[in-house]
Parts: sequence; C-alpha cells; structure tokens
Amino acid sequence: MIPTAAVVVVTLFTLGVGTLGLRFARTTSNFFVASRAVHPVWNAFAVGGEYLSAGTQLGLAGLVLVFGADMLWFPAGYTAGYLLLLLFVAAPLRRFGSFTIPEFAEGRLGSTGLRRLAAGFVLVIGWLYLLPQMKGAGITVRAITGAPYWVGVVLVGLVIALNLTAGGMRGITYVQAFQYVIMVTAMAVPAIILLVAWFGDGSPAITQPEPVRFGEVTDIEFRRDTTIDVRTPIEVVVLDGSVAALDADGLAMSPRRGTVPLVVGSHEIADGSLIRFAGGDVVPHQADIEAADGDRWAAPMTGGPGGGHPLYFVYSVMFATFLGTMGLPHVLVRFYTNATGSDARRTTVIVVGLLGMFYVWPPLLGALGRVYTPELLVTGETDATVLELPAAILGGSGGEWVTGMVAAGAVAAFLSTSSGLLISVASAISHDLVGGGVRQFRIAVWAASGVAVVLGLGAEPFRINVLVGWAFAIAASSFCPLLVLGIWWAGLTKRGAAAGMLAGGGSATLAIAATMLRIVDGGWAGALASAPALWSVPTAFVVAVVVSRLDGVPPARARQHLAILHLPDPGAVDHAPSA
Amino acid sequence: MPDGPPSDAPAPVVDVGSSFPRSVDGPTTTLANVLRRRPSEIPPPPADAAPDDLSLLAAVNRIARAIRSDLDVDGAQVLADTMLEILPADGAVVTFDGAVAASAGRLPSERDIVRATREVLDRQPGPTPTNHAVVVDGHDRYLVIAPLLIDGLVVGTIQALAIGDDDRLRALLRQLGDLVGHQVELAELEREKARVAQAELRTLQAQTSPHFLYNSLTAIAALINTDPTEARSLISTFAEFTRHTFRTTSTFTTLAEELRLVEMYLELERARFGDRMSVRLLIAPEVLAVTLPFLSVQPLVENAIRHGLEQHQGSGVLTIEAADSGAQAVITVDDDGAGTDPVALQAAMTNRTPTPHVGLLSVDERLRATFGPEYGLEIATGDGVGTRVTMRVPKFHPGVHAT
Repeated sequence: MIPTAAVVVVTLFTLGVGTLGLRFARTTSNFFVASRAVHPVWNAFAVGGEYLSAGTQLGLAGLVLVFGADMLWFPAGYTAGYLLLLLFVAAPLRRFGSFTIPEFAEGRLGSTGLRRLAAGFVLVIGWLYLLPQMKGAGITVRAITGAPYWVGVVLVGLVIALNLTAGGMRGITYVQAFQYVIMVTAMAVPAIILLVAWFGDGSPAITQPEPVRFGEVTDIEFRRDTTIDVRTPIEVVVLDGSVAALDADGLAMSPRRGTVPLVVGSHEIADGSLIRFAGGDVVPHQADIEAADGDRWAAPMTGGPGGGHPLYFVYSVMFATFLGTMGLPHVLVRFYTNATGSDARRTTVIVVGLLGMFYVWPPLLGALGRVYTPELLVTGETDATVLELPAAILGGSGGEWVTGMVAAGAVAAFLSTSSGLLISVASAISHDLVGGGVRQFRIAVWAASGVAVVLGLGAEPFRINVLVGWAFAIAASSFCPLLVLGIWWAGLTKRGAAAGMLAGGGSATLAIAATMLRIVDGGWAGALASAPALWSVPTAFVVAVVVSRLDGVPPARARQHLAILHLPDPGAVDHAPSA
Repeated sequence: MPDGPPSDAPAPVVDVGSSFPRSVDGPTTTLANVLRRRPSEIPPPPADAAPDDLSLLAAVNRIARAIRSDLDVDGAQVLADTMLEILPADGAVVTFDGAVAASAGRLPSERDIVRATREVLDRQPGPTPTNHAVVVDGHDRYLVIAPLLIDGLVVGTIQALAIGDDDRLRALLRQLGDLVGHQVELAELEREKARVAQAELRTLQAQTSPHFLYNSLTAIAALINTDPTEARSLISTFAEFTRHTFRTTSTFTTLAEELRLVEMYLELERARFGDRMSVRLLIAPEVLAVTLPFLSVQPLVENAIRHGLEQHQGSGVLTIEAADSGAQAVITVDDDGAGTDPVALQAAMTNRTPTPHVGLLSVDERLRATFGPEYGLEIATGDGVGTRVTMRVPKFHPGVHAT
C-alpha cells in the first residue's frame, strides 16, 4: 500500500504538479527575475536527475550482488564519463550552440546526409537505452503491486508519451533538479537504514571463503521457467508447481511435488512454482549466473558478464562508459540551459560530485543483498535487489516504508530518463529525419514510445545494467569520435566522420545484436561481441582519421568553426542565486 | 485563462502565418529571375568535350567552391590552375578590369595580354570567345579570350593559350565563362540577401524611433517638475535604449539580451501608461540563451502597445512568454487590447503592402530570411479581442551565432 502510494505521488508530481505549479511560480512582472539564467548548480542537479536512470537505481546493486568487485567499474565509468565530457566537449559545444549531435554534425561538417546518419544512431542508442528503463518500470510495478511485468512497461510508455504530447515536462530544470534530490534520498536513506539494521543484526559477514548460504528457511516464487545449477546437493520442498529434477544417475525425472532432493547438476523449475529452501543450504544459482563465491566475489578481475575474460571486460566497460556519456542523446541537450561555455564547465564539475554522492550507495546495497536476499541468485531477478532488500532486512511496515521510498526513487529515475530519451528520439525523427513541426513531433513521440514498449516487453531476460552498458558502447563507438574529432581537429571531413561512425557504431551495433539474439555466445567471440567498446571505439577513430586524410578536403569553414568552438564567450549573463 | 482573449473570443481569428506565398519574398525573386534569365543562351555541350568525366566534374566543382564566397585573387588562382589542368591549352589567364589577376602555365608577355584583353572589352561582345594572335617564346600562338559576364556586364576575362585555332577550346572556354559568371552572381546574391536583412534592420531602427522618441520625451518632460528623480532615471533608460537600438554591428542577439531591450522600452512606455498597463512575464530560463535576430521581440511588444493597448479603453495586460519546445523555443507576445481586422492584416502581410503593423512585417521577413520560410510569425487576432503573436526559433541554426 505505502509503496504504491509513493509511486503514484512521484508520478503525479512529475506529470502535472511540477509543470503547472512552475507556471504559477514563474509568472512575474519583474524582468530582472524573469531573465536570470539557470545557475550552474541548479543545472547540475537537473543533469543528475535526467542522467541517473533505472540502470543505476535498480540494476547496479543487482550486478554487484551477482558479480562483485569488478562491477564497481560501472558507477566509476558513469561518473568519469562526465570528466571527459568536461575536458573535451561541454564548453566548446555550448559556444557552438548546437545541442543535439545531428545538429552538431550538420553545423560543423555542412552535410545533411551526415545529420541523418547521426539521427539514425540517435534512434539506435535512444531505443536501446529505453529498454532498461522499461524493464525497470516492469519490475518495480511488479514488486510493489504484484501485477505482471508488462503492466509497468505499458504504463510507463503511455505516461511519458501522454505527458510529452500534452506539452508537459519538457526538460524543466527545477523539476529535474528535484528528481535528483528524490533519487539520491531514495537511495541514501534506505541504504543508511539498512546498514544500521545490518549492524544491529550483528554485522553478518558479507564475504566468506565459502558459497552463499540461505540465512533461514526461504520460500521462492518463480515467475518464469527457470533452470538452476546445484553444486552442493540439497533437499527442497515443492509447495506449488513442479521441478523436473535429475536423479542420482543424472537422468531427468518426471516433474515432482513434495520433498525433492536436488543432486549436483541442472534442474528445471516450472513457471509459477513455489519452492521452500532450508536455512543453511548452499544457494543454487540460476543457470545464466556464474557463481562467484566469497573471496572470488570480493576480488577484482575474477568474473562478470564477460565470461572467462574479466580483464578484457573491465577495459571494455571503461571505454564504453568513459567515452559513451558524451554521446548519449539526452545528455548534451541539458547544457543548452547554461548561458556560457564556462558555465557549462562549472555545471559538469558539480555533476561529477553529485553522481559520486549517488553511486556510493547501490554497491553497498548489492553487498547487503549477498546476505539478505540470496534467493535472487536462484531466480536470476537480481535487478529487484534494492526493492526486495527492505522487506528482507526490516520486514513489516518499516520494510514497506523503505520499499516505498526506493520505489519512488526508481519511478523518478525511469520517468525522467525515459522522457529525456523519448524527446531525443522523437525529435531525431521529426526534426532531423522527416522534418516537420509540432504535429510531426507528437506523432513521432507516440511511434517512438510504441517501439520502446514493444522492445521493452522483450527485455525481461536481460540485466538492466548490461543493457545500459550496451547503449554506452554504441554511443562511444559512434558519437565520441564525431564529437572529439569534430571539436578538436580541423582536418575531419564529412566522409571521414561518416565512415568512422559507420565503422565503429555499426560494428558495435551488430556485435550487440548478435549477443542479444544469442548468435554469438561464450568464448572469446562472445566476450568481444558482448562488450565491443574496446575494439569498436579505436576502430571508429582510426577509420575517421584515415578516411579524412584520404579525402583531403576539409569543409570550407573548418577553421572558423574551430574558432567559434574554442574562443572564449563574448559575454556572461547574471545568475539567479543558487538556492 | 486571463491571458487568452484572442483564443476564446467569438470574433474571427486568423492564423496568418502559414498561408504566405513563399515565392514572392524579396531575395527569392532575384534568385528566380537569375535562374530564369538565361537557359536559352547556353549552347549544348560539344559531344567530344569529356576526356575524363570524373576529373572534369571534380575540377568544375573545385572552381565552383573557390568562387562561392567571392571571386578574389585566391579564387582567380584556383580558376587559372584548374583551367590549365582541364583545357587543352599551354597557359591560362584570369583578368579583372583589364589587369591580370592570376595566371598559370606558359604565357605571352603581360603587355600582349592586356592589349588583347582591351580589344575584347572595347568591343563589348557576346559570350562567344575570340582568338588573338600572340607570340610566345618566338612561336606564333593564339590567345583564346572569353569574357566574364555578370548581370550582362563584362567584368573580366578568362583566357587560354593554344597552338592553333581550336573550336573545341573555344566551346569549352565559353562554357567555363558561363559557369564562373553564374557562380559569381550566386555569391553576389548571397551577399545581397544579407544586405537586405541588414537594410530591413536599419529601416526598422529608423521607423521605431520618431513616434516613440516624441512620446518618451513628452512623458519625461511632464515628470521633470513633479518627479525629477524619476525623470532623471527615465532619461538614462532612454539613452541606454537608443544606444542599444542603434548599434549596427550585430545581426543576432540572445533572448536574454532582447528581453533587456524590451524591459527598457516598457519602462519608458510605462511613464505614459502608468497603471493602465500591467505586464506578465513567463520565461523559461532554459531558452534565455537562444539566438535570434536583433530587434525581433521588441517590435512585437511595440506593436502590442501601439495597436493594441494604446487604442483600448481601460487597463490592459501584456504577456510575454518564452517556452522550451524540443528543438525550438516558442516566444509569444500577447495583449488584450484593441486587436485588428485579421483579413486586412493578412492581406498586408501577404502582399507586403504598407501597413501600420510595419514592425510585424519586418520581423516576419527577417525571421524567414534567417531561419527559412517555415519560421514566419503566427498571428491570431480579431477586432476587439487583442492580438497574440507567436514566433518559433530553432535553438540551433547553422551559421547563426550571437555576437
């Protein structure tokens, strides 16, 4: 009840109250008040609100729960991406005046074809990044109301499309800034409460040299057909549904109920089963999850979604997240609000701090999950870690309040991020590809949202944070070379830029598609395809430079454009006081 | 909604914006004429004129690019070098106003070139090239000279040095002369467009002032005895406003800057209106940095006061709104004053005929010239229901930067 109420409140605020209230609050007859620019601090909060997504609000803790220390590179990379954005992109782009990458491509290299190509990649990245938001919505709604997965997905698609076509929440700075505050509160306060409860519980060890065990008798409900790997023989009670277990000889037995011994090996559990595991038993893992026991979980370079190539995986994640942030379609738009290049820089510095304040908490919750919600390893639904933890640790109404808080934060996260993404995708369609006005934008919003919902329905098997990582990888392979070379190298030509984008972004997209469709799975090929950034980003840069060199004729006004990008701002604007 | 009389009143409300015929706009007329002028004079290309289509096209492209900004000395050199490359000739010359601007390859003495050129220019021929016998390094050669015609006037020549009388060379040279002429005309047109916008701006600057000047000064004069402090402050505002309005260096400004101008303007108008006018501002800070043509919001405000609130009995409300809308910023100026006959206004704006709403006309024209025909003003008005003028400005447009 409480979680549902919290979610409804946050949704309503985001939708109507923020927009309407602001309309009244902002009306003035005072020019001095009306024409004050947004202070960099406020803008930084808004950037944080738009950037922090369901991927970090929900997925990160789950990823840490499963794979351990190596996953800390994700939050580090999401933050460090802003450092590179700060160093190479923020101020020059503010001076140039273009805030979508397609517009930058056309403005800098004078080619409408390149603009369309860039818009095409905006669609790929935007939709791929909408998937984890949709999944976040699906599992949040399921966790708090028990509704099926698709309800949340369809709901969030409807809500953001309705809201955008009704003209609400178009990147209103103060609403987004407030959303950052909600998110950080909804993460920090529960984390602190749960940490205190953990101390009160006698601080049970998070890492032990041996496998994770159930702390008490645990009933687990399976929401889809699940294969689990058992490494130490256990005995379970099937209360509902059925288990197709193996017998001692490794032969499959017919589905059974009642007390079933599970020997070492894979066992199939039917959708809708309810199974009781005994306290103290070793936790079996869902087949996709490679178990990382105590020491291995806590040590770096030991595993992760990269399979047997953790070192490669870590570097690939670093490339994707460090270089991908600047290429996310909804990130650059926010810098338009800054009046000058130096303001854009100041904002970025503050953003780095704000993100740091947020990212401390999810890994802590993931670690607590090892002790209190090991059942998520069995079902594989680790994205729900932060939603399940409060009930597992606190229980009762206390747990419900904290869950409500976490859910409210998650709702704020996926509403703000998916609105930003949907605006970017819809304007890429209506502004860059088709060309048109308000009506076309509205149609594009509904079309883009429809595509996102359909894709989101199929996203359930994928881990939220892995999906996010893929969006970053494609952004890093396509837009990072365009931006960095376009801003810093006069010799870039339109053919060079197009070739680089196609070579890097195209190959990364194909690799990821092959992974999602399980065309490539396992081994080095699987590792290279599932984390392509380490090879696709350098490819993009090399191809862009070589083709530009061969092409030989940079656009006519390259030097002038570089001057606009890099010469100091002509004038500054007064700021509103910062809170 | 207190600010919406135009939209909920029964009187006819006309959206003038989207129905303007695009082709009659000033600069476009000139372009259409140029393009229409000459196709009949261009002879079909000779059949054997393409030894290597690709390199020829590339060369033509290079010339077009070099001349696009202006046919200056650098452009002339590119032209001469490229001529030497693509023409069956030993040397190439480009002249302006009778003097050699650039040359490449083997050439006769400059004296010979100048003499031959003068002969061509004196005769004022058509576009057909003529041959002139010259001596180069002791050999008899021909200098084939094609005049460069721009708007029907000879401004220079292009010349090629040939061993014998060569029909094909003459044909090629003629084509090339035509191409260069058109290209320079296009460049001229570009500059013309910018000049027209500049002139528009100057006209606007000149037009706003007399009426407003008189009103402001009388209002200040009336205050000098009763409220000298206020009068002094108004005088400084007046000085500041005129300084901003008459600055001629910049074509573009930011919304924040433009709002400062509007603020000064309103302060002066308020000296006359007193409490009869109230102002509502609803500005999204996200779009303060949007770049727009200098003097594009202030004329809308002036129009609202002059033709809306001033003509109206009782007090009026002026609303200025700026909203963030995806790739565009939407700026609205709304008054609940007298309004105007939408049919007459539409006719005036469509035909560009004289109208008291000269400010609207000028802003509309400059917005279209800057951002494209789809960015004209949208005006909703009717007799007695006030006026709402909406402008949409793209947040980014190539080549538009505030200075």
